Amino acid sequence: MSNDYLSMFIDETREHLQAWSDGLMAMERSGDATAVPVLFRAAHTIKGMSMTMGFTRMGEITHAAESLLDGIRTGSLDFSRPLVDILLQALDVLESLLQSVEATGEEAALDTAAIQKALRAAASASPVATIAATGSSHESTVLPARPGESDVATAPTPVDEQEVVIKKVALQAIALGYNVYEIVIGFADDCLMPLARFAQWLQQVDLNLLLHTVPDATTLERGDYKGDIKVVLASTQEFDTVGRTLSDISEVVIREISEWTAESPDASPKRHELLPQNRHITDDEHVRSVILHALAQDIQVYEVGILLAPTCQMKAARCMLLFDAVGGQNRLLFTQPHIAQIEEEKMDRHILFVMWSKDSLDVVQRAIESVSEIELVELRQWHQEGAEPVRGDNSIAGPMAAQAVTVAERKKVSTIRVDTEKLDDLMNLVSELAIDKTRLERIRGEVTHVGLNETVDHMSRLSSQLQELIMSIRMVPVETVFHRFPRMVRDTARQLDKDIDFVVAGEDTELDRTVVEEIGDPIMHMLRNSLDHGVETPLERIAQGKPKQGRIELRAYAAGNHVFIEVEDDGRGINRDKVYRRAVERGLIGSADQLTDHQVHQLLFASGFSTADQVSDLSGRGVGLDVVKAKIEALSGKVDIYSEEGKGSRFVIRLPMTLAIMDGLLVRIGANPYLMPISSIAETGRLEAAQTVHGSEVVIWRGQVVPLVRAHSIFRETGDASASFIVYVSRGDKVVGIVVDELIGQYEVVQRNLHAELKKIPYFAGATILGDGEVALIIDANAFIE
Amino acid sequence: MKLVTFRVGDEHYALPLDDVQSIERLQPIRPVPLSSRHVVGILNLRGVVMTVCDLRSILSTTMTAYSDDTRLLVAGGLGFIVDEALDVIELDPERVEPRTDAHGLITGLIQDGDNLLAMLNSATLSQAPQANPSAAV
Repeated sequence: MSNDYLSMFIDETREHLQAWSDGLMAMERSGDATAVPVLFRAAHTIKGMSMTMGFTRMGEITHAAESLLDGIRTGSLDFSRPLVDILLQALDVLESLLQSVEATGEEAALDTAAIQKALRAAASASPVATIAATGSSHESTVLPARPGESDVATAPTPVDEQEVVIKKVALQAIALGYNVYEIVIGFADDCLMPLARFAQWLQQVDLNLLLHTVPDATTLERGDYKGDIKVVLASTQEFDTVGRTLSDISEVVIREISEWTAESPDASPKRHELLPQNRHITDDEHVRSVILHALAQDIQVYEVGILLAPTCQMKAARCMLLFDAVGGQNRLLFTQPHIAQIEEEKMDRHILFVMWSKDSLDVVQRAIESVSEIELVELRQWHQEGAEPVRGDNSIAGPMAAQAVTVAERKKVSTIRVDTEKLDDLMNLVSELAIDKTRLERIRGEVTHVGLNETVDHMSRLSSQLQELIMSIRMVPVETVFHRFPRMVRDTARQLDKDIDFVVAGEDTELDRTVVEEIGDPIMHMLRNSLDHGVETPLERIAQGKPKQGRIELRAYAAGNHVFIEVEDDGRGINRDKVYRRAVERGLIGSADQLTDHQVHQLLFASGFSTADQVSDLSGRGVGLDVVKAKIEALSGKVDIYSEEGKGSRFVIRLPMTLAIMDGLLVRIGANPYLMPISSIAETGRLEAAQTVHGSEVVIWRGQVVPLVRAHSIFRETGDASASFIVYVSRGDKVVGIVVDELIGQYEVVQRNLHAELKKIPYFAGATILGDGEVALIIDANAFIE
Repeated sequence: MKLVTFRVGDEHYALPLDDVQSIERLQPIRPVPLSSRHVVGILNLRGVVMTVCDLRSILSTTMTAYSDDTRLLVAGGLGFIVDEALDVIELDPERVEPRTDAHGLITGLIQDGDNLLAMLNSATLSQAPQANPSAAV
């Protein structure tokens, strides 16, 4: 089996399983069956792919799940929590099967009979059947019939139920701000593979928003269907855009597009006719006879299709200008929409008209193209063949149509999958290039050569652009880690008998890929902490006059060069006294220490600290928050906690947006250069007179007493100690002045990792290779603050 | 079995050729403050930041100034300073007489003509940076 297929199968199945999980979470939250069509499609697709790949266990489970979902979809089963549980269990089994496929290329030999049985039992326990089955056994109940698979007319009841469900779903979609379209798609008589054409269109549609098809997916997948297809589609796009996606596909005929509205939810949805029954208006008998008549008089007949720009404000006026340009309205033989409707501006962006002219095709084309805000998409000349008028080929294969096609194509292939290793290789190469760039810039200073100057300048610009581009490619939305939390929170909350409303925001915030990969565990620890220690049980909450349902919010946002990730709960908050006592017991602080609330809160991150009275299964083992802190700091980030007792807590993680390339200030300490990240520097200044307080050196900076640290003596440097500059570094409200011997300049460098053992030295975050090939250590200013 | 032989102090040592990535001339090394006592510092080896340990310090021989013969032996992702790289020899593995020392640095002894070679354990060598910090004042 080809490896490519396998990895595609794994990737796509994972996406579908995620859609499945998201859908279930959404349904459980909303308590209705809105996402069932999504789940159904996911299950159906996984089934098809698994069977093709020979993964029968996955195929069988999804088949059983599909039947169950179909029952909910058609209304023969009531949506309920136990059903969600069974579907989640099925999801778990599928996920572990997929993992085994990924690891070994084979399905693990898991016993899947139990889950299949559970799914089948749930599917057969239809409400009607349950009542009927009081005396008999469940085995006697029949699976609900699949409507649509049989002839629609012979199975009226399920179809009615189905219609009701679809309407319900459609109304919900409308309420969410989607437009819902009902489209009847037909195919040209000579269309050889109508379903391939349909599939072509499906590629441009978000399948999750495809609410309904008649016939249903199973029939369509069989491949021999040739009739019309009715689809109900939710979309954020305008109807003409949707219509265009269809009309762009050859051999597809739009029989009807109508929009559903929410005005009368009880009655059948109101429909607007938006596009003609058949867009090929010139197939109309009457029009053809007029055309024939004109051709007989040796007059040219052109068929013109135009698309008004979406920004076009006065559509009617624009059309009149267009008609004037081609010789006036009396040249028109036919327009679609009707000329009266155009005058009243009752039209979408598509206008099709047939005109006569004595000019040649290119003259007409130029005339039309001279009108602004329109795009000429179709221009055909009619000729006579025997007694029949025949429409010629579209002559707009030129730049305009080609352009339109490229735009559409580009949209279609807007993403590709790239092996992350390749991306890393690319990043490394660009880093090398950045070093050479700096080296070249140095050499330029030594050699005077005009040509060299220009080339180096140009190369510098290019390499900076390249760097930015690579950085942006490396950015991925945090969604890739966030998506697994709703499920985790739900399961944990259940385990703890807590009722949690889990809200996720800012999933589209982007972070460097390496950071995103590492950030999952710390967030999970914080969420577990909030679930376990933060949010109270429903009973406790009611006693305190809080809403029964607790709330945990996970949000991400970008600010400046940092990305913030917050976990906030409305639970009991941090008990200051308890934390303080525990910290004293553990010897983390002295009993006489005066600490601010904020300082006390940060003690939670201290190693081996846990205030949970009972060691629970989840957290409270004293590992957790200190691990979180270590992990975040390893990513050059920091974590803070803000809390108000009785009201809740908020964890804030701050991360640099990118890791690989940083701005740094090169300083000399003793005989060696060191690089200090610009991001940690508050200010630099000369060292004037330092004062001594309690035996330690301080300076007054911005009205604040700032302790001084002599890097020269901390690093046990031996070289010249002129100690003439101070670099002020700050974190939160803490400021420290680091005394260095010389400020050399600002550099853009690529941060390199140190050997694992050297990483343990707190003062260094890494190393870098400077433009001249020298190595410099990168200072971690945090170490000086602590 | 192919071995790389080299001199540290007055003694001759050997490492399996397969464990040695390259032998380099000495380049400027940037010291790393507060690192363990065997770590000399870091250097730029063709665009890679490499940690350098002093094999003379690890083997507790006399430290002499760097000379023209001083080489950097790259093994296990670390650089090791040796006083002189000698040769690459082919040796029958049977001729290695198993022997070990307190630190697990040596795996065996080899009689090669007039010279006695000590076979080093590359796995133990890669632990060198973990030694106690230098000058724990």
